[in-house]
Amino acid sequence: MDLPPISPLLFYRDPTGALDFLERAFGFETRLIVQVEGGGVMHSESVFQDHVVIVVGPPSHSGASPLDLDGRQTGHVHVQLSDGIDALCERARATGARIQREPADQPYGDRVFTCLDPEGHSWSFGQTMQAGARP
Amino acid sequence: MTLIDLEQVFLALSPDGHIWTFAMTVETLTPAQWDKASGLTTRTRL
Repeated sequence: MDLPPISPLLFYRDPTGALDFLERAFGFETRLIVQVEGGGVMHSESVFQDHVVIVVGPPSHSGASPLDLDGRQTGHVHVQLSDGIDALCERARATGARIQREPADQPYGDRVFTCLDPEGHSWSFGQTMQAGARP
Repeated sequence: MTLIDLEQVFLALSPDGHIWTFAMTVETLTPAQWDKASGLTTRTRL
C-alpha cells in the first residue's frame, strides 16, 4: 500500500511505545519501522484501514511531544469509523487513553469521542449515525 | 514482501511553525537493500 497523499506525523519521546499503544488502544497496525542507532525512530507507518499515521521520535530540532509543551498540542488527529465507536472508546479507555469527551451524538449527525494518548496527543473518533444529516 | 520507497524529501515550516514534509518516491527497494544502502534498521512489525 502506498502512502496516502496526506498523512499526519506525530512526535513521541517513546515512538515504539506509541506504536504499541496505537495497536492496542485503537486497532492500528504497524507496517514499517525505520530505526536509527540508539533506538530512535526516523520513520514508521501505522495503518488504520487505508490511512497512515507516521510516528517518529524522540523529537529533535523543531519537533515536540506534548510532554515537552506542558501537555498542550499543536494539532489533533481525527479518525472516522464505519462502526463500533462505543466499543473502541472502551478499548481505548481500558488501554490507558484518557477520555476527554465521552461518545456523544453531534448535531451534524456523527457520534464522537475524544481522548489523549499516553504522551498527550489529542485524538477524536467519529461515526456517522444519521445518514444524510451532513450538509 | 514489503517494499520500501526511497524518497526525496523536503521540510518546510508554516508561518505558525507547523512542520510540513513533502516526499516523492525515487526508487523502491526491499528492506534488505534499503538497510544496506542507508545503514539503518528496518522492521515490518513491532
